[in-house]
Amino acid sequence: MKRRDFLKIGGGASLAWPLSGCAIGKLSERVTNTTWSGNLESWIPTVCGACPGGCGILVRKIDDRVVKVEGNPWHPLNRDKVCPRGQAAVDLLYNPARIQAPQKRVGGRASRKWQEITWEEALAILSEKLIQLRNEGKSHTVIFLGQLDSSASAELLSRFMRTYGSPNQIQFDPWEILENVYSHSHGIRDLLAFDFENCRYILSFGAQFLTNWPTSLEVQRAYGERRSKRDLKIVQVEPRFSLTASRADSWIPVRPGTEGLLALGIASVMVRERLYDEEFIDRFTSKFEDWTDQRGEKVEGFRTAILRRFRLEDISDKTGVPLKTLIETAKEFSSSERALAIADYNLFFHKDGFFQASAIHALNALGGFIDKPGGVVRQRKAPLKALPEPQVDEIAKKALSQPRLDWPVKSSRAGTLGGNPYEINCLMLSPQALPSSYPFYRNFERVLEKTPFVVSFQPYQDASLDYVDLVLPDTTFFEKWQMREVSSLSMKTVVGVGQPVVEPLQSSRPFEDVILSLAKKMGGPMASNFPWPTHQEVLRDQLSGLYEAERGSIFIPPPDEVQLKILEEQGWRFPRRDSLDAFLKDIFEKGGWQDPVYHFNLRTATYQNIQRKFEFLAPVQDQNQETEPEDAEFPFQLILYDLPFTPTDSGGNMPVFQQTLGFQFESEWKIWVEVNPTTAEKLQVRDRDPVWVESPSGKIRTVARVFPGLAPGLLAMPLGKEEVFPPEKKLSDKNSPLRLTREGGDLRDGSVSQRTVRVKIYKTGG
Amino acid sequence: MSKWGMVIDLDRCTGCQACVAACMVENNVPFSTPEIEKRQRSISWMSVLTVTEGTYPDIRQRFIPRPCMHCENPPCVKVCPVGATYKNDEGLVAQIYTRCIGCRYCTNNCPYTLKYFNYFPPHWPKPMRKRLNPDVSVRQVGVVEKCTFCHHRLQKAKEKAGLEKRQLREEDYVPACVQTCPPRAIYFGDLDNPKSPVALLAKSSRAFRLLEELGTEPQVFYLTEGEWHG
Repeated sequence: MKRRDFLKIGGGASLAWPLSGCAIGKLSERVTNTTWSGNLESWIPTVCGACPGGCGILVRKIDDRVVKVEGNPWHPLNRDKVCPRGQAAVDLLYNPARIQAPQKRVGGRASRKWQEITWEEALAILSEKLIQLRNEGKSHTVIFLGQLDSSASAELLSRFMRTYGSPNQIQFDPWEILENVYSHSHGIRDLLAFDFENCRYILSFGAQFLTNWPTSLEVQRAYGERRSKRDLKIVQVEPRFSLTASRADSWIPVRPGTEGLLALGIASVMVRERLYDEEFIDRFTSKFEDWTDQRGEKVEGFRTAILRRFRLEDISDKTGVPLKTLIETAKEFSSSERALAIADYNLFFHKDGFFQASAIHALNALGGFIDKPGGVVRQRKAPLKALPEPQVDEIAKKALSQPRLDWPVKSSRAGTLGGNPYEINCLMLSPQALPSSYPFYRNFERVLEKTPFVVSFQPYQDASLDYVDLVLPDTTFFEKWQMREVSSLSMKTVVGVGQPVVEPLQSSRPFEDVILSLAKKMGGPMASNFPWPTHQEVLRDQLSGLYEAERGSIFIPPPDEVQLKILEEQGWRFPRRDSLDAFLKDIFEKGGWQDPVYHFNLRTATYQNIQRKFEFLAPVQDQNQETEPEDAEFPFQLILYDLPFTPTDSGGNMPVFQQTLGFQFESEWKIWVEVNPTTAEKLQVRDRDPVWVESPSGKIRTVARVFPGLAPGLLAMPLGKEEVFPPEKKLSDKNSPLRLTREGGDLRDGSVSQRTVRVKIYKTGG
Repeated sequence: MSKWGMVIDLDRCTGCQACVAACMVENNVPFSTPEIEKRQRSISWMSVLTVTEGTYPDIRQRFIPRPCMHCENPPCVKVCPVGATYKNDEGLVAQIYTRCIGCRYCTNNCPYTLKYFNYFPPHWPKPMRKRLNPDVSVRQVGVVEKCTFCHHRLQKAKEKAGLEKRQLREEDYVPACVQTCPPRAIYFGDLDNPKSPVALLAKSSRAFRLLEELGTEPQVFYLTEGEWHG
């Protein structure tokens, strides 16, 4: 046998990292292969949990350790492809910052002392606390804060909160800005999807669809194919030349916060020159023409409002886009047969994001690009079986009628700090970290400080730990049963499932199982609403809906073009399984279930308002007052933007991912500020000079990077970049560009914009 | 014998970095630290070069993913005093770590600067070492390393084909970066097989190679970006 370079490192290597510190070991340690092992290779299909996308992956295992993640070729969303986040996700599993067992704080928050406890004890502490609050009629003062990407886990949690009696399951989801728009125009409280595969013209208003969407891998595949066929044109409208702008055919720089206004300008040209799809407007829309309300009064429709209230010259002035470009873009967009106007979650951070997003989406209606191939479409939901309706008792019903606390996620007005409308008694932190762009972290810190009892389910030591009293560590997605529907942003109906790839490390426990045991421990109505022993049983019940459904199939190898044609002509036929058990066995072996059939022109799916029509929203004149007033002391406008693949969280626990993030500026770890060459010359700042960026709220030291991708009056800084690994364990990280944003304000009433701020910049003293 | 080569379509590349991350995890390349970055001694077998051209608002940015070029006429091989780097009969520029004496002649002589010297001992926090790939040896301090086109995957593919008593097929051997590339911008295969997609694409009018004038004859071809519509 020939000599081989085996590399098995200490099979029994201790993973006991103390909770208080996770310093990297000595650099002098030698990494060598010391033990021999069977090196048995296996590939296990599961769902990637590194972001909300829900891509299918195959995990490569050698004996009992995970070494690599590859795409599951049978998963229709990503096929065999994985993004850099997914590639780096192995480090989430074997991470030095992982919390290995439940911990209880001893001696008050100031002491920073922790004691390891058993799960039995941990559940007893939490359930006693919860029962006590409930008995006192204060169950609504228990708050669950944070995202849960997996739809199955989110459903389980909301069942728990509902039965327990708290309306406060709160998360920060900037995509809701688009949900609000679709809710108004289509009567749908969900995201609509875009058919990128068949689209020929994309007019994107700052949307980072290639990198920052949960469905980015699907979009990238479509992009690659269309690029090779050379029949896709992308026009990117945004103030900064982003990665997406660099892949676009043309980039239209606009003043920050005027994307929606430009959309109105384009709409205005289409209306004036009758470039819109008259048949579509006639059949599928309402309120385009003037209309009469219930009281018999005449109300301006979209057409009159846009013609009367907006002058193209004004729009051109305000957006900084030449009139010629504006008109040309409108003509190009409307003359394309399959075009899309897209916005994304970024608008959430604008003062008038709703109106901007409405204006952008109105272009799709004007062009007639809704419910057609290559247009705006709606995902058909998978027929998962709903869990039986929970029994909600009187105590819970009473508590559920209390007002919901939408602060700390949307407002800095921490009313609750003064007990208004009520005090918070217990805060539960989701296993998922807060987004790196979470706008009110300062407020959040204060809330944590003031809450008497904070429980965390996070699997990693992080900044919030300083305020936590009890930790019930979750596992990573490699160690649990999973089910994830793909995001509504994809038109594909896909349910990905996954089994644990490895046993939970040390004594961490899947969050979903902890919720089930917690309910059981609490007894009474809680226990009876959660009869399942484990999360696996819950999934079994939900997945039985797929088994019983008369459509779709467990993943099959992707058909080639000839097969696809035959299937489309003759109809899809799928093999049925004999029993639910056989079905479940198979679905976990293949990684999920899909329904490849999609019918266009299904009016009831796309429009769910009473009229079954797209409802226009007449634009108002006072919108787009975004640009903050000129200020002699702070002459520059700073744009904060999300780096690729970081909107959900920075991925700070994945060093390989973090190292690759700053590649556009050859920066592996340091944060930078982008400066236009003209500005740089004026300020006598050279590339890579250390500088201070100062706003009225604070200042940070960083490095200037001269970059022609933004206008002279603008500066730009990235969000989502960690400067070290493991990430700094401070909530208000001193170098986060978010420090520069204003502290006050409220995203709900539009009194603050969190993505632009006026600053000054100067060279450091030495 | 096959001649393995790669074609990267710059028109399709989105600069997403999936290839870079995949390579680092597959090949046990340690991640850098701020300290290592400061000294410019990070290692990344696959790295995406960003080229920014033009002035505001007419600017253009290109991303060029760069693995080892596996030159037909490799300058690094010529200067190695100990035969630690050589051209093997399948067209790959191979590297024998245990033979390398760390003289760094090859790193200096590579016109693409794609050979990396281990200035520091490779390091991962202890728990993370569990995920190291047993098919790829960890390089010690003082030796030079570079992209191998995931040569270990070729070995495995050959073993597998042997077990199944069949010839090695072209698609059996896929490097990690090619496997993961989301927009499918990277093609890989046998340049000697006239029917192979890489051989066909390498002859396309859009094909070019980096620093062709040096006569190194790289086996990594690029396809230029299409017309700029700006």
